[in-house]
Amino acid sequence: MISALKLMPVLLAWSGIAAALVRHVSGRRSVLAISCASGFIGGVAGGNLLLTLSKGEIVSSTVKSLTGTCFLCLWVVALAAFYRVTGSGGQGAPGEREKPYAFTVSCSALLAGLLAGAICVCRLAPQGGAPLLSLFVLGTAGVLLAVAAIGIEQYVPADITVTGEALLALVVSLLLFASSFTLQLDLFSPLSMKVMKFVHDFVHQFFESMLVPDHLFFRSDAWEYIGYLFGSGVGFWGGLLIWFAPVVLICAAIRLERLPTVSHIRQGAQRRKLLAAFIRERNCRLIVPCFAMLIMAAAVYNSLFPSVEYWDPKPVAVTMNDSGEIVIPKKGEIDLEDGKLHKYLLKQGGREARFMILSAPDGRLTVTLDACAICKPEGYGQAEGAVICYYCKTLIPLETMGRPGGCNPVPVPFKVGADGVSLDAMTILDRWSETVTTTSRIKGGGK
Amino acid sequence: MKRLLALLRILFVSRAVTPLAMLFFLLLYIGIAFFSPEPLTTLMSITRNYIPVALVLALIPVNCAVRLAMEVRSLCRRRAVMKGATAKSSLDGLFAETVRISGTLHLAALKGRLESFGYSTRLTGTSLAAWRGISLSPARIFFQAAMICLFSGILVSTTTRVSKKVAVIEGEPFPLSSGVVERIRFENRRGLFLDRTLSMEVTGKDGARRSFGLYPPALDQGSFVYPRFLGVAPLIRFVAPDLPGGFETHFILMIYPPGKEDSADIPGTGYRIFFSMVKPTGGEDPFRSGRMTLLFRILKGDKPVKSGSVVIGGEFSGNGYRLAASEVRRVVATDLVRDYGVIPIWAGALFFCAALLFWLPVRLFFPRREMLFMEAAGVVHACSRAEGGRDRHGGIFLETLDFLDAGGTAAGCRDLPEDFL
Repeated sequence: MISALKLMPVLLAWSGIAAALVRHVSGRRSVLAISCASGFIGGVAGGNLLLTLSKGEIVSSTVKSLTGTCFLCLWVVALAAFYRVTGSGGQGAPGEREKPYAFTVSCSALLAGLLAGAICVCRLAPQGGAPLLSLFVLGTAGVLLAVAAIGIEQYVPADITVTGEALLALVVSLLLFASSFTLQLDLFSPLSMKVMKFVHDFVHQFFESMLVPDHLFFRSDAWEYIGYLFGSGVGFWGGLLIWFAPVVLICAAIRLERLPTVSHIRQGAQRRKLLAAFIRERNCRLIVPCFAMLIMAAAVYNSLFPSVEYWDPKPVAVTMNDSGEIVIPKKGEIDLEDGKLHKYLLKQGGREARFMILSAPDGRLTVTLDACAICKPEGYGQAEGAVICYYCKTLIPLETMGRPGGCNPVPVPFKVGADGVSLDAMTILDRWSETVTTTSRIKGGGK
Repeated sequence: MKRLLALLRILFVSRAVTPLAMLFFLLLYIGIAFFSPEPLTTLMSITRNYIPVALVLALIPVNCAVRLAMEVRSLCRRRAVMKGATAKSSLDGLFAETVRISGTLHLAALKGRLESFGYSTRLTGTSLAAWRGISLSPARIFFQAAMICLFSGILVSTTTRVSKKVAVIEGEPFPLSSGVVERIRFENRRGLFLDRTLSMEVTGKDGARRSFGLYPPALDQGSFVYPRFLGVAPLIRFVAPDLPGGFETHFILMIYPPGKEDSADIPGTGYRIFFSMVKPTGGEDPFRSGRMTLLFRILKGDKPVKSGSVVIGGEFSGNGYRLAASEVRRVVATDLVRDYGVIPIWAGALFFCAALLFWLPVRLFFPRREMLFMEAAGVVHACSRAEGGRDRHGGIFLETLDFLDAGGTAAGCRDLPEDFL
């Protein structure tokens, strides 16, 4: 039941894709229905097979890359559309559009189906191993919903037309929306982080290349303004810009299409009729990209406020013994080997440090700070198969816990004895101070 | 050969070349970002080392230069046509809309009618030109010039930049031109962006004095002198139980502002000394005054053996270790940069500003709208184009055509309603 609820928005997105495809081609319903159904079933079966054979991370990163490639294609198409319209002085006669080839549309439906099916499987069981019955129900539901969407589509007003660019915008936005429900597939958060990294690198490189003096010589208020460029806000707003720009460009390309030439018509009424018809048709073509924009906004919302409940226990206060050690029993009130994240807080002489203990999937215990070496120390939460850095939203697979580098939590040396895990308190306090000092030096974290 | 020339023509003339080249670099950047933690520097390095990639970058300024020439040519042709100086054949590509109507022109009536709509007119023989607003051509020319400067600057900078790190030390020879660094001044002076000034005063062998400041960076023998960080060079004398003879030298320590740490090795002994500067409690800046206290930690291998502090002009001793700092000189870590792309990039930025400052008000408030009516062999050629306010202009153009169609009489025209279209 919960799985069905989890999958509902993703399946609805899939039915939206099928409806958009059939509206674009109009008249090849059976071919399209077969392509959609076979694509979706192939996606579900193939995705599950790969999830079973390999680690979940590989499949999710492949699906994520494919969705990202679709988004990149949307960018290229949007730029081309905008460029064509502005380059031709806004002339792009709607009547010149050709009917798409059945083969092209079938292939597109097949690919969209494959991707949507794989996204559904990743949502159903991110680590693989979904029961066959669930997969069968998922495949059947996907096929039925696609067929239903293709059937219902004919009741949508005929004025709402879907051009090639608008179709791509809608399909990609629905795929992004479907992906945003699964942490491992979400694209917006990594995009924001990449933008932040790019802006940081670009500003640094600009200063170097243009021989601009270092911050030592700068006015502090001027440097504060420059500092905004290194903040996470830039990543978020830059990410939003990149996220919405292709759909906005497609809307602009449609809106900027110049009115048809009516200079040769000498009857004013006929001229106005022709122009009014064109404007109405142009406005109707705007509906689908505008709808795609709303869906992309929903995907951003999902990414910012995921419905996933993170396991984030309140840190347990610990103290050191006379020999400066902290000893935490393996079993007791807290079972350190239950596979869950356990957080602890050490306070000593005005200093404090947060650390966490987690049993990795291979059974080894890991002890790390509740902070990484590059982000602000906002801590970690545990999701399915991974812990997430609250600051940069990077997912750290549980298998890599205890390893240093990147956004992984900073490991701390410890000993496992019969009575539990023992740690050196001063080492933890020193490592925490060192980490926090380093990351707070960089505005907005170091990513 | 013809095909090659046609291809080259497309490469140089097409509007698509610049966006496509930029798209190429964007895709390259995205591809690199998957595999490298430093995608921007990797992309720059690839552009520098692989000629085909540099050639793709070079396409942008070349394409922009050709487009600039075409823009100027188009501007000249349009001006000539509007002055009525050229034949009908030269109208191709100059206007967005051209209509042919049979009949004759009633130029005087048409002129009055267009003037009543606020157009300026010019009557020349059998042609009538009408226009309103200011052309955006200068903005387009500035824009293309900016693109040429910017991308040629980036290309030159990426492929030919040479940088060398040196330490400029008071009392020592200046690394480039022959001369000695007399003094390094570091002062508080509030400017538009900078809060402090730095000047490295150099006296040449001929006695001529020269000062190298912060920004704009001074040029010396074709290289920019780019001051980066500040440091000090104290004269340190170090004696250890296993080094009774001692060791004395000027250590170059990049430890300013206070809080930074730097280290120096005592060659052949395994000793390494870490230094930092004590943050002054008063308002006096240690770099400026030369009065400072150095904190130090002495390590032999990885093992700490002694730590303490020493004032410049003073000495520390304990457990057989002695560390004296008898004098200090100011140091500026400087990059000597030979880069011919810097000036074109700044020039590009200026051109971009000029283009924007021209384009924005003109496009919003005074967009250019033009009409041309020419009569030849009983056929009237009516041409129109607008850079903004297209709907209103198009309405007036259509109304004017109706007027011509009706024989240029009052019966054939009517007042335009506000919502003409």
